[in-house]
Amino acid sequence: MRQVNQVKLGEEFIKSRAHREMHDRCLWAARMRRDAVAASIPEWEEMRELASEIKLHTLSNLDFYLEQFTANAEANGIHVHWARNADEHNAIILEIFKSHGVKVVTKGKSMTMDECGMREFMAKHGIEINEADLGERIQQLDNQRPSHIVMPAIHKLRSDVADLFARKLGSDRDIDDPHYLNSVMRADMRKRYCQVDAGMSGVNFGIAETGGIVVCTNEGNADISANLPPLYVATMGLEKLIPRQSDLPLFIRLLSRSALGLDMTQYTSHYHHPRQGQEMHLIILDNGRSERLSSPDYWPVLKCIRCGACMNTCPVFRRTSGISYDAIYMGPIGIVLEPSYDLYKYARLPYSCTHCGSCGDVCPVKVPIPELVFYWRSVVVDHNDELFTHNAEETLAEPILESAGNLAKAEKVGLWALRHIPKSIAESGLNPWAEAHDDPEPPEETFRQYYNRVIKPESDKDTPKEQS
Amino acid sequence: MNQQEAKTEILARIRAGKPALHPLPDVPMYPYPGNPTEEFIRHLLNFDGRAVRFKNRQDAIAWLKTQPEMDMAKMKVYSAATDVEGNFGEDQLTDLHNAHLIDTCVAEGELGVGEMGSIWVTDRSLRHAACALLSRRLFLFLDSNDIVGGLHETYARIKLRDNQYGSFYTGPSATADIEAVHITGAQGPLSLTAMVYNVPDAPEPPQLQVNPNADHSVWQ
Amino acid sequence: MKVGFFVPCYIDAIHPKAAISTYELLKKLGLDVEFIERGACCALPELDMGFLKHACTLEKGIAPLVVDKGYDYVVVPSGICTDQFRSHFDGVEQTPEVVQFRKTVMDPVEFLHDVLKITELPGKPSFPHRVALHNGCHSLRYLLEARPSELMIKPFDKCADLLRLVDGLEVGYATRRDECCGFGGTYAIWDASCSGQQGRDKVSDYDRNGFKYVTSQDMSCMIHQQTVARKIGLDLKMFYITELLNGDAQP
Repeated sequence: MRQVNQVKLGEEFIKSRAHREMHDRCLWAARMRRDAVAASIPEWEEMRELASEIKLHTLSNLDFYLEQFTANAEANGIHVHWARNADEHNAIILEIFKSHGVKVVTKGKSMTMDECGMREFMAKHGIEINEADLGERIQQLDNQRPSHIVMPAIHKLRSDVADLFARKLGSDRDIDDPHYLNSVMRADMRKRYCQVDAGMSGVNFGIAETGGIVVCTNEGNADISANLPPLYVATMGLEKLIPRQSDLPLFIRLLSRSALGLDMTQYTSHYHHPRQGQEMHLIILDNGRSERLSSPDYWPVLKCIRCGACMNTCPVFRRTSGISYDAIYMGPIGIVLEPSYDLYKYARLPYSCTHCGSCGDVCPVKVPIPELVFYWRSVVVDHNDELFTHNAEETLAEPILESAGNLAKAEKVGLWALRHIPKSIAESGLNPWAEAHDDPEPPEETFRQYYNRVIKPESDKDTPKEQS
Repeated sequence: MNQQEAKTEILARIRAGKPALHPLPDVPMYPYPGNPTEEFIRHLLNFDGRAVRFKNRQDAIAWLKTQPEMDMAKMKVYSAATDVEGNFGEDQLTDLHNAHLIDTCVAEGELGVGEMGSIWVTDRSLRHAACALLSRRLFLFLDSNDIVGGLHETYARIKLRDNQYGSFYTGPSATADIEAVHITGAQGPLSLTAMVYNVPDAPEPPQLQVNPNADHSVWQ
Repeated sequence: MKVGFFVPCYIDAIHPKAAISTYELLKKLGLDVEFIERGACCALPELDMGFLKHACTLEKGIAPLVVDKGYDYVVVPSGICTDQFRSHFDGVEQTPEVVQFRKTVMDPVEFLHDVLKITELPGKPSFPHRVALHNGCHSLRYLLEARPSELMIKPFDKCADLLRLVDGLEVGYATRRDECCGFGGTYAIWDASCSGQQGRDKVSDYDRNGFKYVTSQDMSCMIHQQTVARKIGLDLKMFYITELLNGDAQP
């Protein structure tokens, strides 16, 4: 299998100035709105700490809460299923669909289902699944993964969407007004709501105490999927639990404010029972989560509530887009999650980070992303034999050592190079640094040389005087 | 597939590997400052919702009847609200998919949230959530005495488990998925109007309050 | 008060002025400053890439130079290296002396602001210009020398406090005041395209705001930004903060 090279893919996005600038502007605006609404809540930092503690507690007692949740959900009339991995997850749902003769499904956004490759799997079995979220639908029509967990098509220009809709939905290619494009999508989707066999969605929170699930969207697509057809299937990663109903407002108050800088998701919906005449199924998915829980350095990653705030703030993500990570989860949380699914494929992702620390400070549940980046880099180095054809230290260090302008090794090679290597060579392809940077002006002398020339003789002069 | 086996194995793995127990803190009942009704309307307008204040419920019903969305000659109106008649009946909803034919849906809001401008609705107050979700215009009654300041307090008044479906509706369906341009009417209603009654200082005649910067699409 | 002076490799080689200004300022403040001659690499690049074993070896080499040498404080004119010592120096046994070193290792801003609590600068330096302050990410978010814009805590900014002691100096910020400039140590080499783009965005931000001068407590950011600015032809001059505080910065 091929190893994902985020740097290379990101470079393509960076080079498309219109895309990059739009992407950066939109996400930075979300970050700025987040700052403004967070500042309006005096207890914001206290809430982050509490939310983090509640998540840590829940994870440290997860078996208890999963059993409590399941017992309550079953008592509420919800069919609860357990899936150890993606294959089991998909097989369970297929079985449910087959027994109900399901042909057409509408679906709200679910990262967890994306993680299982559920849609592609169902397509193979002749079940048509229509994404109801606008962004997710755009990506589905374009045969591309979401580029952001909250705004799946945010890397596309309106003209890209106009072009796509013209090809797939027969709209006017020359009109790229987002309102028009939305109405094209709306008209297409509402036609599909005339006959739906089943609805699907992900889950934002499961409440152990009440045995119900909470699903948050802005479009209402998950609500339509859940409230219209006679069958509703939801998937929940097993880390999504919170203990009590009274914990919920804390998370709801943090979620949308962190994600988009909005006080609330437009549809914040709670499901505790199936509708009369409806069947409701919930699949609890492990898929590596229980293993992550057992890693002493890594388990806090399971606190993540998938708000996407880390993506909006990440300076790398904003300039390279989620597409460049070629993964289900992207951006800061992606680079620390994906290696746990496939260490070889995603071994390079933890290096797509400047360590600026912004993601850790913006995270509503204090996932220590910067620390987890260090963690994964050390794991990658440790596994060098399996991950690389030759020594990982060399592989990873290669571009560093090759570069004459490298600051870290400057003492050994840099200064010499600055003085002796002609510009034409220093700026050749061998030296990635030179593409964006001019050479630093070499100083007359190093501090050490200055010290030996100026400071040391002075203090040597001083010393005997004091002694005399 | 053996479900019990998967469950047992997952739980065993968790028990074997879970970290040492962390304490569970209590969540304070953080209040939200300001007059709940005013805050509710301010936030609802921010979400492109519309609001009208009334002295009492009768005034609200009277105002609603004058709205073009309630023109029974032209519109299909579904009402789950007491004292308001529609022309789209239960008999037409034996297949819920027909809900997409509804122009106007009227229902009761159970609680309002000052902090967000959200309205708590349930399967009881909506009767069929599908109608509220697939109609083009949604009108919700809300007693100002049921508007709470903060979200913590609001949840303290709700028994989640007693409701099949319960949701905070905060403005009409919206999306910002194309270049982050805010658009109302993504999938569900194009507009949401809160009719807030029992407001003693409600203006006479009633005034429809809208966000002057609201998204008014020319394409819908 | 005896102060050990640790000069990181890149400062020594590329911008020794940062070390010279810091050293001289500390001397003017009447401190007993001892240059740690054999000190060089703090092991950050190795740790940054995940080479824990290498980092560990380097840390073991550094420890005898800085731990239990009778220093009340060790001053390191570099935020990233200070953070390396304070937050990551785990390759050596955590003896009480090592713990003490990690507590008393500081960058000049912390040392001047929190330990010496200076209210005036020796020699009354003057720099009658608008200067953009770039709080380096490590100093900002790991050493907490100012309020990161993400955190909803009371605003403070230690660098700005110190810079206001320079006569005529007006402190300002880029519009995106604390977005990362893209240096990130080895990152600048690993992902030169994105690092370069971040750098261009950062220096263009200063330029749009009419700044001619920029300063930071982290010279690595300044070297990155300076060379990016020069590459795209922007007239910006970058200083290490002590160059301004010691009156060495030339317009």
